[in-house]
Amino acid sequence: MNNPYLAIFCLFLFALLLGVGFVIISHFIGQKRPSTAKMMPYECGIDPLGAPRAEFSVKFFLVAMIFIVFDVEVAFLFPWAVLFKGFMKAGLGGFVFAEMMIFMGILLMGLIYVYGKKALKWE
Amino acid sequence: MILLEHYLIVASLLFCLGLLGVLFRRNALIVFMSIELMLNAGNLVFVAFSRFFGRMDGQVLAFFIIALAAAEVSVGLAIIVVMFRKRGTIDINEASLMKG
Amino acid sequence: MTIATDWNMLLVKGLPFLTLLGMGLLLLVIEVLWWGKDKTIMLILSLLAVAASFYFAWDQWIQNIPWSQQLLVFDRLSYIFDLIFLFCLLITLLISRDHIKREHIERGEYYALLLLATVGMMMMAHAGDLMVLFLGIEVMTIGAYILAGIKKRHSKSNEAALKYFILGGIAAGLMVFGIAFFYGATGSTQLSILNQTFAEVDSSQSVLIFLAVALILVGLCFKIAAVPFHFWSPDVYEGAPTTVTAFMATAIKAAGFVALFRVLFIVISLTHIPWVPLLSTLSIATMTVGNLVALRQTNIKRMLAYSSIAHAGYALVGLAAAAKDNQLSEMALGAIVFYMMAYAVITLGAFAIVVAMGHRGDEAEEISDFAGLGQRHPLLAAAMTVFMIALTGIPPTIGFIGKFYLFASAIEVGLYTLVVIGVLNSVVSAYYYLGVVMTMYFKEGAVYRWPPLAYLLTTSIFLTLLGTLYWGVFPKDLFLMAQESVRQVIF
Repeated sequence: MNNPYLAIFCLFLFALLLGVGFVIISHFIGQKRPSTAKMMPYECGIDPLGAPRAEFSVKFFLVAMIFIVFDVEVAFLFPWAVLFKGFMKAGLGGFVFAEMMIFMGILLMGLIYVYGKKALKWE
Repeated sequence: MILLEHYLIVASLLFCLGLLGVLFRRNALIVFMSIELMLNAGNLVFVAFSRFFGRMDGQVLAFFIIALAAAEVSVGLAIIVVMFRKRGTIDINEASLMKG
Repeated sequence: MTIATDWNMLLVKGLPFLTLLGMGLLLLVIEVLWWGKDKTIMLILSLLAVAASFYFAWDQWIQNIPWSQQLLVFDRLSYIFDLIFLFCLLITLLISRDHIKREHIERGEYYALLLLATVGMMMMAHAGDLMVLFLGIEVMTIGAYILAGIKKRHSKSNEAALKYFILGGIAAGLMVFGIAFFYGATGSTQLSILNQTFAEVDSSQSVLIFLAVALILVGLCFKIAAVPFHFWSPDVYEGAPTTVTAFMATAIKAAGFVALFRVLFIVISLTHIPWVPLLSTLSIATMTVGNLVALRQTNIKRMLAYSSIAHAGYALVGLAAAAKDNQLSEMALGAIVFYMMAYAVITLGAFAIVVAMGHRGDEAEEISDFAGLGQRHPLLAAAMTVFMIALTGIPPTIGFIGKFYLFASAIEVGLYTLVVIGVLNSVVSAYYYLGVVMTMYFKEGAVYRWPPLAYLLTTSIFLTLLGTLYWGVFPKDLFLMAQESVRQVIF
């Protein structure tokens, strides 16, 4: 059968089976003899210094998370901005503008929430 | 010459990699990355077909998925951070109190 | 470049979820701007939004003007599920207040997330496009992740959130990949496109469609916790706050089913997929595993979690019956809608009692905590007995009627084996449901001093009890409503 998608389908199945197969095989025939040296984190062959848990400020994560969300929402603004002139010419300017304002309004609610929770305050 | 099939093959492999990672890795962060891999495999398929059809709608859909993935990332990271602060580990099996 | 949509129409038809969306966002803002410490205002506002939304959905259901805007569809099926979600939300809100107060999780976010998750479910019910369906699922689940882990200082709650997140992530990945292939095969993510282009789908695309449909359906099976995609969902149910568990066990399950409906309506026309054996196997596996594992649970939330898996299995019996002859039959679909309502009413009642059992510092989640309830709190014990026999499927309760319609629809199309297995499963389930009743009446328990029941909790127990018994005796109106809802499904 001369079907390009069938090949992809077969590959898909094959890759899955191969992956599962390897894990199962290694589970059964692999030997597990954990020792202290093996369980130690590897740091270029030198014994690790200090606790691996560096004290990151939680603020750091918080700001990172907020950044991720708002950052991606901006991605919607670019196509909108690029196409806006075209929409204006077609007489849909007001409508498209209102759409984006609704979107921004919802985001603004999120920003008010984040601000009100003092998540943006960096001590 | 890179054809549609090549993109689909790469996407399929990425997807399988992600799925296997989710199923077999125990580190929550790596599981997390694997989920992203699965979502992005979907994105790749969307964009490849979109290009193949010569239309833009597939790329718009990819945007939606990126936005959703971002939302998932922030919630997932929050869960992992809370878990790490509470339990001191992000190993799923080690942190498991309830029997699966 | 034209946008041919009747925006006024969309606004009116979409009011049920727009109300909730608006209120959800408003609650977030109120949460940070409100000066008082008392959160009662949040509950009142949420209840108001639910009431308004309920009115709009009910109004639209009565008017019955099916309308499709391609991305969103508005028909009776979607509105009846809106009503089911709103009922679940209502009871969840009512039982929440005391629970979240003593668990110290009473925050505006709790209410806002419940409302927003419901918006996601409604989007699923109204989805005419796979992408909208997916967005709805994600809005629902992202809300549910946070709700499951909202008890930040509890390890079990954290774990529930993490496990739910991983489950949800797998489902999302599978669905996105499936939708992408669907797009590749048909050039659109619109569900109805398959009907139009099915005639001209050649063999090379049929492989893609097969892959797409398989991935999407597996993704949805994660949402309804069908075996073998159920792993960890009992952990999630156990670890999450009880009220959230109640919401997940009822509303999210119903949402999963409506999504399954929407997809199956279209893909059922793919005749080369053996739908009936596929769905029958899924159904048998789901109910059998759910019931057998539920037998040896000692935690009531875990027991109800496995019971919810088993009940998804019963509902799948109806789906298998509906899939006969490659077009979904009305009677079986109506039976599933009815079953979803019945299951929601009973399960919410049972969870309300679990919430009522707990007090500060002791959540009373073990079945043994129910010992002696029959003597000390006869009314509560009687209510729990009703819910347990309803879950088993014994008359005169709505649980019996629901199962009766489901199995009748399966017999109609000749799926006798499936019905026999279903009935056997119900018999098995009687063991653990009635076990709770036995514990309540025939075992000596520790002497608690029962705090007086809060009136909101009493109201919710009363409402669910009334529904269980009233519709158990007079099911006709509700059943006709369920039947009407599936009569005119559009895409």
